[in-house]
Amino acid sequence: MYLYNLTLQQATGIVSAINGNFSGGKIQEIVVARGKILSLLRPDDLGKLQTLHSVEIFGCIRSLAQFRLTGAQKDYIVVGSDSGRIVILEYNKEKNVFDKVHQETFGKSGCRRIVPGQYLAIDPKGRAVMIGACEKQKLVYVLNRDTAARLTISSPLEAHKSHTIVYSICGVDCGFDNPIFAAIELDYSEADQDSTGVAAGEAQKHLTFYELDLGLNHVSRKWSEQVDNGANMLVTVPGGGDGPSGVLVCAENFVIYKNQGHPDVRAVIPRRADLPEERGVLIVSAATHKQKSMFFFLLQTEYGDIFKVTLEHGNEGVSELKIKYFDTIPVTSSMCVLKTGFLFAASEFGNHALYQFQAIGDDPDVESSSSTLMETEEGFQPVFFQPRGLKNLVRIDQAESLMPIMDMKIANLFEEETPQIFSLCGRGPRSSLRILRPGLAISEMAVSQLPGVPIHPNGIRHIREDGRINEWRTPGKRTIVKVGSNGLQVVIALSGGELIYFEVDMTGQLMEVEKHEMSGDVACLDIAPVPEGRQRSRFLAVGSYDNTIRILSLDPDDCMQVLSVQSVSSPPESLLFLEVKASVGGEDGADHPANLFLNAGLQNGVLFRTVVDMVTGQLSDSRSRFLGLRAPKLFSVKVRGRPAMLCLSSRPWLGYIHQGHFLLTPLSYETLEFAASFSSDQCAEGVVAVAGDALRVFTIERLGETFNETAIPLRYTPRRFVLQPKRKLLVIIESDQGSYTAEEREAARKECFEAAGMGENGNGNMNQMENGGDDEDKEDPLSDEQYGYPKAESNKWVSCIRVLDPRTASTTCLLELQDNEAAFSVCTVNFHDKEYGTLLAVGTAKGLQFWPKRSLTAGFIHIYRFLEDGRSLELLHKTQVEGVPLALCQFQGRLLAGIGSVLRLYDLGKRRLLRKCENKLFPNTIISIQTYRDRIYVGDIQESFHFCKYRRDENQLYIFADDVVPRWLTASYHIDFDTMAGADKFGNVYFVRLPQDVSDEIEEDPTGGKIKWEQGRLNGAPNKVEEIVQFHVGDVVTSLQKASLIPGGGECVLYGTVMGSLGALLPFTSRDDVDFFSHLEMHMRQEHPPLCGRDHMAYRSAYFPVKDVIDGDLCEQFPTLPLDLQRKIADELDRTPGEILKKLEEARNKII
Amino acid sequence: QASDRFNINSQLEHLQAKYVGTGHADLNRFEWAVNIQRDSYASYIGHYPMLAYFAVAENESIGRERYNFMQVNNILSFCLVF
Repeated sequence: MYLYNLTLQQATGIVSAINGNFSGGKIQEIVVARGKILSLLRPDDLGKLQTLHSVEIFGCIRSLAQFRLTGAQKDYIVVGSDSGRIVILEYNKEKNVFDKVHQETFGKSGCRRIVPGQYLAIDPKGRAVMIGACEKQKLVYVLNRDTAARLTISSPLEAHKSHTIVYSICGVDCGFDNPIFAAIELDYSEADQDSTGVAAGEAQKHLTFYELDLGLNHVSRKWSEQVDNGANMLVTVPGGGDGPSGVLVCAENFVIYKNQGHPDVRAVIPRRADLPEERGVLIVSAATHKQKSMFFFLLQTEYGDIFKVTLEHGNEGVSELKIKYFDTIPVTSSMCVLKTGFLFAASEFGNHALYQFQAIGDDPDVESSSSTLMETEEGFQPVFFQPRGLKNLVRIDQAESLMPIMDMKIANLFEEETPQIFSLCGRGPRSSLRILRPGLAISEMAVSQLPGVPIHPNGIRHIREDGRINEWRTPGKRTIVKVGSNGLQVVIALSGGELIYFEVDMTGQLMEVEKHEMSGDVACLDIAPVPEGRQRSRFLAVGSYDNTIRILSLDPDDCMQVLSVQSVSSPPESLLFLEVKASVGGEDGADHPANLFLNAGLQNGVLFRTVVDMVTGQLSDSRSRFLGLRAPKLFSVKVRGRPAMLCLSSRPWLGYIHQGHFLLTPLSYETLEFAASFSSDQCAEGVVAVAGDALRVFTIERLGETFNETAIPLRYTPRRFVLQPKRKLLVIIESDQGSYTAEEREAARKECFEAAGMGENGNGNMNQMENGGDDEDKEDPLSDEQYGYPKAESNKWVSCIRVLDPRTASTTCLLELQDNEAAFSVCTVNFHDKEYGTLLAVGTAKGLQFWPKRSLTAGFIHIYRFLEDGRSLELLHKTQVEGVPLALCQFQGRLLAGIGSVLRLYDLGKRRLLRKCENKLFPNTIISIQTYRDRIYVGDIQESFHFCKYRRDENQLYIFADDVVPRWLTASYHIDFDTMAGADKFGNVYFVRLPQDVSDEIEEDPTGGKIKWEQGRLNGAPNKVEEIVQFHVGDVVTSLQKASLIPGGGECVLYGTVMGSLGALLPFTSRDDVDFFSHLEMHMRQEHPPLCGRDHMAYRSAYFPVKDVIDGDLCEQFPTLPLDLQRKIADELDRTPGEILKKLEEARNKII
Repeated sequence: QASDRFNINSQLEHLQAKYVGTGHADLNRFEWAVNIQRDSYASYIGHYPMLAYFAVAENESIGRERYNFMQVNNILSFCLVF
């Protein structure tokens, strides 16, 4: 089996974000790293975030930094990745790509302990960069310019110190003196030597300054001083003429200003009043704002509160450090303060947001200062505050993020043409169920009912600009059947097949130019748009009922001559020329040659597209795609000022150019009959369409997306869910560690309002606890989505079971679990005695704790009965078990449960579940169970799959096969009788298969004696499965599912990841395709190595050698290559570049 | 002298000095396990998706998770139960 891997939706989570002027000039831009994707974002004039460019780098980006050479106008990007190389990129706005300026190898690849790449620090004057590892190694590169003003990079200077852990590094701003880098370090050499553990207890973090002597070209340790042991982050303080220089050390509970030869200035970070005492406050992200006259820092804590830090400084250095509460936004991984007054917040989980500054926190608020710091016997006196609504920031845009996808299922619950993807996303109060549909989102502007509109054309009425009317009537009784026109030319087809061609002459008169008799009736026709600077267009396309399309010339020299003929599979219904103008460095496009495409909607529902040679009119490079059950009608519309095509079949599609690619994407809208462009003051680029008997006006949003999503808010982190296809309902289990229960939260909320004198306003009903997208606009002073749930002790759990109707997005039943219980697994089960019909089994744990060792009070399996046609739940009984039931599954009218390392079969009793049979031989913890006939496929948390068999006559469970590699399973899916698909924690997807002969042997063993007595070696099972597919995705895959996303398409395996991306693995059906794509991949690897220096093959084989998977993401970068390179690769493959593009498009069209 | 340079032991010594965590013949169980542990933590910190995965499991922020993985008690004096 060979698979084709294709990412359908790129990762939406953000690892790191930096801001600067990457395209030069004054425009503020943001570069974000999304794991293996590097993208450039720009807020447009309306404050909407636009993605200008996005590229997969086939590596793991760990850190980003930007720098600018003195006097330059443009920022460069430094990337720290797992490639063992430092890479400096420059954004090329003409071509809309990142250009690699430098790539210097310094070590091994991979995210290792001592290989630099984890940390990056830049000298604020752009003279040097330091790249560091978690341990020991730090390298400094000197940046300079050569005589041609090009960026140069020196060979690396070492600043290593062995037996040292590095927590953070940053540049120190010391004007134009020698560059200095600061690092928080911990020396563990003594602790390692001392086995009693005393030295380890005394280990102390230090702040160390490294000076790069530009004259001697040498790095030396300049200064080192003890620092708070909770220190985790450094922030550069402006120096030179702008400030006091030095660094801010962010530590647990404190912010400390430090500089060489300067006493520490320390202030406590204010705490939320409701925070448990044992919890500290940690700064997780920081941003600096610097103007000519002032600067301040925004520091965000792990609970989402942002503090503004200011320094009082004079000639004697810093006299006071103030930390003032600023605002609270969801916890970020990075924040960027843009010079234009925006704050870009890249959320850790959930949607990212762009905020505008309303104020910079000058109003009085809770403030902690170094001058009022009180030290008592128990330590420093804490400062408390209460989070409040946004005062300084206002949110103006958000970017959707699916991170993390916790579970995903694909089903056609809404009975649409294509199935929907149901995914559980997000965490805590920001979690949601997102329903994804392939297609573009549209926003409807207006709908109105229409009376019938009769149209009877029997002539041409030419209305000139001044209002004069020119009329031409058809000769005799013939009527016009079809007409095509552009601004200056008109062609009409009369019944019988006569074409008459008119032209507007110099004086503006409509003149008949030529007549032409076709062999039969004309099915459709279209004239190409007039090219710029020309009098007329040269091409007329005519479709006939004899399954042909002809291109006719409109030139005076050879008027109405047939230039080319194309036969198609079915009579064409509609024709449209789509002209792609040559563009040089457009808004989103690089250089593209002009192209003319002829599109034909055929009666069998296929859209047929060919390229028309602009000179000869020859047709080439034809592609076809099935759009729907009705013949597509084609209409030309404008999208972002460029011509685009609307194809109306049984669902509407939009064909448009995005970032240099032609994309054909369905619109998430109902069936339309006719459509046309529409422009008004309210909507510049709308579409007006007729659907049924209603007139609709809509616009198309967010081009370039594969999926459009509908989000339904949830209460806690969703864990798993089950679909009830018949009742079209979902049952979702949600649980959160370290949170207060709903009642406790409500009580605390009331208390807080009363304290704030808002008692009467505390509309504390249950609905308010439902957080969600719609709630944000309400005057809710403390929406959980924004502020997060108050933290409780880590042994407290909250959890709920929810029955959700996805059609109305309404929760029909919500059960909050009581008493520290949390739900972890769910399944529907039909027991033998059909007394209750389908029941719901939920596995829960009470008082679960992970640290210092996993422990729990008790585990339970709840059995619920569905009431009111499945819309509500009633507890039947609950059964105590000895571990956490992490996996449940129905099996032969009974319930299989994986409880710790025990696989157990239960039957339904009156008051509890009854044990029937068990097997205790699993190595660690069972996390997944799937069944097929009498086979049971058990996934272990650490040891991959175990294939089991249940013998009914003996009532025993046997493990007859297992895997040879330890795999930390995160997702599993049953493919066929002998095959399982799995994904592990390290980002690999793999398939294992039981060899055919072993499988036959096991099935043919009537007594089962052989399985029973056969012993494997080293406590393993007697038989071993074989790995047949192996691929490194580079992201933790959390769900796998087999599905077909297009009507009539083949099935593929879809996966969802923690970073919020969706991908597909499509099995190849022919050997030719495998050969073609593996050769293409090979050439792409050679000719187009990944941007950040990681070797593609090594990346895809990061943990295990890649096996039988071809990376479509790499192949799809083929169109981005320069044309001569494309031609070179195509020659090697004995094809033309056009054919390769066609193949790539076909492969994608098989998936989505 | 020349033979010393190609001696397997001198090569090993060089490797041990250069690459932290390279094993040697007298490595005891504890040292070996400490190295594995430290390598694992470094890998967790380097791979952001994995860090996020742990953060979801423990309901902590990713920043806190990274901090915990690097803290002294984790890296230095964790208790191995053998």
